[in-house]
Amino acid sequence: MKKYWFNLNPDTFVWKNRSNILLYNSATKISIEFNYSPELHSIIEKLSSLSNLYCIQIDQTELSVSNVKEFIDRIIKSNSGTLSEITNNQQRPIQFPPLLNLQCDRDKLKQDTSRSIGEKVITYLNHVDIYFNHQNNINLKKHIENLSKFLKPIPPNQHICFNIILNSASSFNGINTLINNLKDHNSSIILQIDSSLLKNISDKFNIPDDLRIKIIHNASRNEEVMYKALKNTKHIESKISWQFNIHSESEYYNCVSFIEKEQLDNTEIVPEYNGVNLAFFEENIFLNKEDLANPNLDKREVFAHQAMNTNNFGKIIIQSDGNIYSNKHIPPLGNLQNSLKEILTKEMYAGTSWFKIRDMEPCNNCIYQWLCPSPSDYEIEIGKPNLCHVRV
Amino acid sequence: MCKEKFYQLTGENIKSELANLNQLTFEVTDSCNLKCRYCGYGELYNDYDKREDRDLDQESAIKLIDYLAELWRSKNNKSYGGHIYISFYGGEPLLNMNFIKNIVKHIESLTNIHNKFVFSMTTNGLLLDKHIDYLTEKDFRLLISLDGTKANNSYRVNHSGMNSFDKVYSNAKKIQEHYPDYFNDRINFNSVLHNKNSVAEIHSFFKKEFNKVTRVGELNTSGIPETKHKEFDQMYNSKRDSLLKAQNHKIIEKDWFVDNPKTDALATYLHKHSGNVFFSYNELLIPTTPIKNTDRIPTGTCLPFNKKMFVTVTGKILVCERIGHQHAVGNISKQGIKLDLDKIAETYNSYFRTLTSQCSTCYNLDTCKQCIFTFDTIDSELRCKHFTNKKQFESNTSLIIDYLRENPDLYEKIMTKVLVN
Ligand code: SF4
Ligand code: SF4
Ligand code: SF4
Repeated sequence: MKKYWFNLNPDTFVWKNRSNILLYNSATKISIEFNYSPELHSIIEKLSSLSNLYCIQIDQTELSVSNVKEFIDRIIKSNSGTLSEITNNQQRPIQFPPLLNLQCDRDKLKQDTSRSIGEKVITYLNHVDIYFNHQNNINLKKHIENLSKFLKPIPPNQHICFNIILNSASSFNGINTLINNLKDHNSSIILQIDSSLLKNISDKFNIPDDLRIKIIHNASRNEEVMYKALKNTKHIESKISWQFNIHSESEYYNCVSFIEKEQLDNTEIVPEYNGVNLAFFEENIFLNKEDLANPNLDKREVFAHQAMNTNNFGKIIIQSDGNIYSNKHIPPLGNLQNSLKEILTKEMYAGTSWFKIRDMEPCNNCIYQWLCPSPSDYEIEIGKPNLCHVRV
Repeated sequence: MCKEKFYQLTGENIKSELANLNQLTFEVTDSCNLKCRYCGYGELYNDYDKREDRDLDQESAIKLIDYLAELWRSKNNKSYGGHIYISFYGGEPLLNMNFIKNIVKHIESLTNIHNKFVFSMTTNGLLLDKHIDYLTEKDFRLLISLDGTKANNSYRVNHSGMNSFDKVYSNAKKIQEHYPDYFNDRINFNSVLHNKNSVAEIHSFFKKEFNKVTRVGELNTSGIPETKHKEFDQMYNSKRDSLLKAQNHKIIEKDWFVDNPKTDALATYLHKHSGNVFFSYNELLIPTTPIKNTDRIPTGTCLPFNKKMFVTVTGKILVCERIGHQHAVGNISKQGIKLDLDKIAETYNSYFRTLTSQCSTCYNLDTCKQCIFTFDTIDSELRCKHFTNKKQFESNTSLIIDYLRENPDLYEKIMTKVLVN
C-alpha cells in the first residue's frame, strides 16, 4: 500500500475546537475552515503534536475517506501543505511549526531566578497620555514639574508619542513649559483638545513647529460647534487633525458629509459607547466570521496577539491628579511620586492591561482566538468579553 | 549576500553597555592554594600576566564601582530590578576575603540604583568550610571547581603535588548537610575535561554524590606556546568525542540539554532561522525589516561590556575573563579609572575591519559564535578558519536537521525553555 508524508507549511497555524478546525497560512494570509469530524480527529491530533514537527504519515486507505481527502486537497490547493509519496531512504521532511519563543516573555522571566522582569523595561514605553484639568496655576506649575521629573529617565533616543489632553481652558497657559520639557525626548507631541475649548486658542498662543493638534469633536453636539471650531483653527490648519466621536449611524453620515463639504484632511471617525447605543455597535462594530476569516495578519502579528495586548502595550496614562494607569478602567499602578521604571515593571509583573489577551471564555474556545484583534476598551465599557457575532 | 559595511561602534554604544552592565568580575588575587596542571595561569599558557601573589587594590576597585554606579543611575540604564552580578574570581578568591567583604559592604551602601546586586564566586572550594556562614548570609552563588572522582581530579593538585579532592569533597558534603536549600539553589560545580576524566565519569559522580549536573568545560585552546603543543594535545579531550564514547550518552544529552554542543547548535539554528524566536515584546509589536550588515557588527563577538567587565589583579580592564590580557581596554588605579570609550570603539572597529570581507560573505554570520579575541593575531593576514560557504552551510544545516529528526522532542523544549542571555 502506498504511504505518504503529509506536511504542513511552517507558516500555517492550526486551531481547533469541538466543532471546527481552522488553518491559517500567515504567509499567503489565507484561512480554510473545516467541520470537525471523527475521521479528521486523529490527523488533527497528530498535526498538533509538536514532536511530529508538522509531518505525519498517511496511507492510501486513510486518503480514500472523502473527508480526509477533501481536507488534504484543500490544504494543498491553498499552498498550506504538501503530500509526497514515501520512497525508500527518504528522510522525514520535518518543519518548524509556528510556536512562539519570546525570549523576554514575562512568565519565563518570572521563573528564571537569574533574570529579572524589569530588564530593559523602559524600552517598552511608547505612548503617554497626559491629562490636564487644572483650575489654578500653582497646581499646574507643580504638576508640570512633577511630570518632567517623572519622565526624565526616558533615554534620549527612544521614540515616545506624548498625547496631551486638555480638559479645561485654564490649563492652556502652562502647557508651553511642558511641551518644551518633552522636546528633549525623541518624541512626537500631540495636543488633544475638545472642539468646545478651541475658542481659547488665541493668536497669542505660540504653537511650536513640531506640535500637532488633534481636535476631538463629540458628534452628538450640534453642528454649530463644529463650524465654530473650524473657524477658530483656520490659521493653524496644517497642524490639525480631527477625531469625530460618533454614537449612531446618523451621526456617522453627518460627519462624513461635514468632512467632504469642508474638504478636511487628517480625519478619523471613532465610535463611542454611551451606554445606550449597543444596537449601533452590534450592527456596525461587532465582528462577524467574514471579518475574521481574512485578517491579513502575518506570523509576527498572530504571535503578538498570543503574547500581549497590541492596543495597550507600552502605553500609560497620567491623570491630572498625578495617578498613573495602564488603562483608564483599572486601578492605578501608582503616581508621579513613584519612579517611571517602577511603574512599568509593575505592569510587566502583574498588569492586566498590556497583557489582556483573548484567553477567557468564550474566546478561549473560539478558533479565531488569535486572529481576532486584542481586547479593547469597548469590551470593558460594554461589559462583554467578545464583541462578535461568532457562535462558539 | 553583498559586501556592505558593518555597523561602526561608537563610544556612546559602549557607554550604554556599561550603564546596563550585567556582571562586574574582580580578579581578587592571583594567589592560589592549588597549582592545577592545566591552569590558564600556569605553565601551559603564555597570554597572561605573570603571577606574583598579588591582591587587587581595594581603593581602585571602589573607584571603579563608583564610576559605574553613576552610569547605573543615568538615563542610559534601562532596567528596574535587573540583576548586576558582582563576581569574585582568582587565583583563589577566598584567599582575599578582606577585599570581598569590603566590596560587598560598598555595594550595599550604594543608593538610588534600581538594579539588584547579586554576588557570585568561582572557587576551588578548599577554604569553603571557613567562610560558608558569610557566603550564605550574603546569598552568594558559588561555582566550585572539581573534576569528578579523586582519580578524575588528579590534575587539581596543591603546591606539593597532592590531589585536592578529599578536602573539597568533604567541604561540599558539609554544606549539603548543613545548608541543604542553599546547596540546591546556589551551588554549582564546574569540571574541566581532560585525559584523566570523561564526560560519563563526571556525569555519574556528580549525579550520585550531589544530585547535580555539572558544567563541563574543555581546556582553553588559545595562548599555548609552540613548545607546549605536544603536552597540551595529550591532555586535551573533546566534549563531543567524550560524550559519544559514553554508554549512557542519551541520558547525559538529556540532562545537559543545551550544554550538549549538538543541542546548542540546534538551539542557535532555531533562534536564527525558525522565524519563531523574538527577543522582546517590541519586536513582536513593531514590524522589523530583515537585519542588514550595517545594523550589526561582524563575527560573533559580543559588544564591549555586553556580557561583563573583568578586572585583573593588576587593574587591567577586560571585556571578559576568557580573553588574553593583551586585549585590556583600560585600567584602574588609585589615581582613577582609565577607560576611553571612543578609543575602545575605534579599536574594535579596526579589529572588525580585518574580517569584514570574510564575514560579509560567510553563511555562518547569523549564527556565528566566533569571538575576535580568540584569534591568535588580529591583522590583515587574519583568516577565519570557521568561514562557511553556501555548501558547507547547507551541509551543517542538514546535520542539525538530522539531529532534530532523531530528537523531535527537542523542538518544543528549546522553543519554550531556552533563554539566551
Ligand atoms: S471575540 Fe472571541 S469569540 Fe468572538 S471571534 Fe473573537 S475570539 Fe472568537
Ligand atoms: S569570549 Fe569574546 S564573545 Fe565571548 S564573552 Fe568574551 S569577549 Fe564576548
Ligand atoms: S565564522 Fe568567521 S568568517 Fe564567518 S562570520 Fe564568524 S568570524 Fe566571520
